[in-house]
Amino acid sequence: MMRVLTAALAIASGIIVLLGYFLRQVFPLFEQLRLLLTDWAVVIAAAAVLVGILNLVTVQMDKLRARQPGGLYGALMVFALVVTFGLGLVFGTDHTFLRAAMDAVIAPVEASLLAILAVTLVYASIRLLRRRTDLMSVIFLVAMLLFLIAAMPKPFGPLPLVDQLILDLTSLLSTAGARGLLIGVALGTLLTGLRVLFGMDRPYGGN
Amino acid sequence: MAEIRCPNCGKETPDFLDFCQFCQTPLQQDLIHIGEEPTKKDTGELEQILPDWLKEVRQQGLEEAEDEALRPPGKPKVTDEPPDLLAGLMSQAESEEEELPDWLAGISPSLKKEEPPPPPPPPKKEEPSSFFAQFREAETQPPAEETPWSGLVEPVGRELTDWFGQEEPSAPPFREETGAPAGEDWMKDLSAFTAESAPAQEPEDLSWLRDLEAASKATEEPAAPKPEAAFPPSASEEDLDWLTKLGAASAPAFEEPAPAQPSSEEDLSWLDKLGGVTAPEEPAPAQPAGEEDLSWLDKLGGVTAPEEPAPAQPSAEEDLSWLDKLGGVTAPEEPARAQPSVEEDLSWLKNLSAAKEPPTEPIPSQPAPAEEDLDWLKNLGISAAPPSQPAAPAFADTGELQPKEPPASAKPFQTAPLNELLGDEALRDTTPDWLKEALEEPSMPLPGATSLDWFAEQAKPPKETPPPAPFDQTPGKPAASTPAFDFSSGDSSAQDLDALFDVEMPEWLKSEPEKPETPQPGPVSTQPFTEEGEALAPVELPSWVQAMRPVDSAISGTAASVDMVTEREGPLAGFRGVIPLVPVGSALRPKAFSLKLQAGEEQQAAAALLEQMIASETAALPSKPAAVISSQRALRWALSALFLLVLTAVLWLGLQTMPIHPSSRLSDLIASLPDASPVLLVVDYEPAFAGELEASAGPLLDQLALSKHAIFDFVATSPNGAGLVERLMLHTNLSKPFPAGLGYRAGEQYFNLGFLPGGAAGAAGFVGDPQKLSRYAAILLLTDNVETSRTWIEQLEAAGPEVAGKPLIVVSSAQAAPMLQPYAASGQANLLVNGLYDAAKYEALNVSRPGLARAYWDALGFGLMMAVLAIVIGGAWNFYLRFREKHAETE
Repeated sequence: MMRVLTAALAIASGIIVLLGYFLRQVFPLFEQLRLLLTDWAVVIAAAAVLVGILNLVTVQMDKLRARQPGGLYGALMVFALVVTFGLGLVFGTDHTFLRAAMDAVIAPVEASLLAILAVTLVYASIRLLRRRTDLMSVIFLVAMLLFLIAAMPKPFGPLPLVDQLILDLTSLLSTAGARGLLIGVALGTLLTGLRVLFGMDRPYGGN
Repeated sequence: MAEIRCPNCGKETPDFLDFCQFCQTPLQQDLIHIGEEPTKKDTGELEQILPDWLKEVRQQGLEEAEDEALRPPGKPKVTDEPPDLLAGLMSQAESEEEELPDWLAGISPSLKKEEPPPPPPPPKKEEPSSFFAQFREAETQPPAEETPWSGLVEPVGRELTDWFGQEEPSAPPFREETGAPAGEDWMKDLSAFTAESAPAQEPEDLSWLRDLEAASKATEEPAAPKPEAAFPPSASEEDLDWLTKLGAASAPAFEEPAPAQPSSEEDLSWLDKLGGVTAPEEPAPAQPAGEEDLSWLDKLGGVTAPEEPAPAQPSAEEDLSWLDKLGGVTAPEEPARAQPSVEEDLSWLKNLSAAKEPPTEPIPSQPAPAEEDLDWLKNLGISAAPPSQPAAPAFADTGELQPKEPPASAKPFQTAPLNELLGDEALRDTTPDWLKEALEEPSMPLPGATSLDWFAEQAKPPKETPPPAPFDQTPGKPAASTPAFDFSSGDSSAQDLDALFDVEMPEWLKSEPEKPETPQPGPVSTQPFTEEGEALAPVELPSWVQAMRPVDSAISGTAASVDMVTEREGPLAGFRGVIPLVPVGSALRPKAFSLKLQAGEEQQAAAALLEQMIASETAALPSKPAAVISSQRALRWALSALFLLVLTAVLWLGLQTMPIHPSSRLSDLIASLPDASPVLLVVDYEPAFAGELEASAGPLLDQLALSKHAIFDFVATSPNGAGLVERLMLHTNLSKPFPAGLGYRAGEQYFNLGFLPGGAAGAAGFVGDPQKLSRYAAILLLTDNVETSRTWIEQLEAAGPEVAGKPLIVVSSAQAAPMLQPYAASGQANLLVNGLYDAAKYEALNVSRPGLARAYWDALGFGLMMAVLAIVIGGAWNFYLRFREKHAETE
């Protein structure tokens, strides 16, 4: 019964949202229903974030109680969460403590990860011909080097015609590839929506 | 049980004994075993015990021989090695009166003259010799009463006599001038030979012949047939014929001058033949149907016969055909004298026949059967002397060829195989001993007899051949032969009788080269009996004749299968198929297989290699000690340190060595916006990309704030977005107080709307209210994520024309710009700021405000240059290492 009910609710919600898009001018009710359902979804998603945070705290506390390896890091994470959450609730997001936490901890740590990523990519490019000495590896390296040379700032300025040619060529190729990917993503999204509407896929459970 | 009278003591002895049970005298000395050389024996002394009737017959034959001797041509050549065909008759030559067969007594004219014919024997008479009396009885019995098996139902010997009686009609009439036909010539020769040969193989054998000869001599009317007279076949005549053949004297044809005395004359005539008297041959007009049996006797004698046209005797022809092959004597096409052309073939014929008279005249009475005889003579390379001219039918003028009532024995009847008949005790007792011996293969190895049986296979007349009418004779026309056995009734005994001769022709005899048919007149026959030589010639078979005997190996050779092996050594030498090739029971026994693995050296080496490979797989390889500082780790540290040092130095030094070329297309859109208009800023990036996006959005926000005094509403789709708004405003110098910044304050010039949960749903819900978005002059999307930027672009486009018409400016990181390029190219995004590269241009156009892009621009340049150099140098070095490893591997 629940399976049928959940499926019926999911299908009905999808159909109403679609009708709200397609029959916006003819049936404004569907538009309102669409917006209402979308707001419910946003609220539910926000609650889901809180549920996720609570799940994270529960798991890390279980590790701490079970004295599992890495439990101490879990405890530290829970402690930071509680403090940040508490300060945010009390002082708001514009509090200096929260700014310092963002500027001194979160942003540099994540930026450092990207820096490591940059060094790792360079190192992998260097080792590429050692691991795989084939045509695709050579093409990949050559294309990367040409793009970097054309896009990087040069002390003598951009090479006339060469840099622009390389950038246009790479932009053309990248744009074409991006279009293909986006079209594929659109079709996949459409198909997924139809499957949900027809009850073939039940991501909400009850399969 | 038949008994044999001992020649020594004269006592009766069972016939199955080889030695006399009283005096231990060998009873069957004529047995010649395989490999034994025949020994000459003088049988002249045995002539004393010949019966009178036989002596008379012999005497008659001598007289005929004398008459024959008067004739210059046509004397048969006497051979030295006649077959002992009459050996089986020795048992009957014990007594004169008692042992004389009744049938012989009835058919012998000489005996009739000298003594009255004995009364017909009783039907149940058990005497071995009494069965011959049926011939005479058969003559008196009406043909209608004769049944095919009457001879078997009644006295046993009767059937045998019928069998022999069937042969007589087949005997061709003989002529006095030309002598007997080919089939009879050799008989004459044979008898003559036996007469000339002094020592006999067995005295008993020829003693009775002596009596027979004497009887023939004593006969007032010689048995020699009258010229130009043919006799109709009858039972007695049949017996007379075959006995004539057995007499081996080429006597003239038995021709009865008158039907009133058929039997006496016939007996006399054949006894004359037995006597060895060569009688002048007369043209035989008629060829009796029983010629088949007669002819095989002829073939046995190996005497060439002149070829005569066959009036109408298909059956006889068939019989003669096989006889031709058996006899091995070729007959010329034209009538010629019976002179053997090939000496080697004639040599044995000479040996076998004592007196042979080549026919001087063509014998019309020797039709196709004679031709067939000549054919087989051709095959052996012996050309028989054809008759010089066609002869008139024998006894044609005597009226003997007048048709008469067919005798009882002449009527076709069927008989069972004689061997089977002998198996019956009752029949066996009534069967003559000599006939028993002739039918019992193991105990009768006589060359002639065995050869006859063997060759009789070829003598089987085809069953479809209609039996000719035996009495449908006319003067001058050959009489139709009467079949000795009537197989037309369909009784199985006919086949049994055929089975008696069911022996195929051996290959060596079939492949006998055909000799040219050149009639060569020669002394084929000689005087069968010398003047004083009444003793028979010793019987000695040549070795090749012995080889012709149908021994088991020759007979079984045709029926033997391929897989039979002929034994070559040991006591079984010559036998075939005696020992099976496969041991008995070998197919049932399973083959013994060795349990030991039979592996060669190569296989063992391969197995050892496989074991070594398996062992190497399971063995743990010694782990290499990890280097404290590996080259790869050092390289990574070196790269990190290099980038860190260089970029730090560049940033710390504040180098602005890299030139920037401004682009006006970025600032044109901002210039078109109305002043003091609210601008929606979507913060959709993570803190890791905050430095890039702050530098990228700095020139744009500075222009909006500086030139347009735009009011910013910040909404974040990332949880950290709300905290990044203040950072953004601070790092772009917007929130900094004036004069370092623009003095934007939160809640007055900019509004942080916070985090928008729900992802795409939150974006859809946010843009769902067109009233909210319509007041924004532009929508500025700060993103490093392709998915979220795609969601915002799509949802803003779907929000309606009012929202879609608003300018959408996308500031993205360098990594997300390629994926957003299609939206910028399609117009869905009015402006796309691609990372620091475009931000530097924009900043250069905006008088280098806020200066973040420019500060990062040299560091970006140096960092990319180092990356390119590191990749090129490191890639070349690693490529070299790779090439060196491959080269080392190949070496």
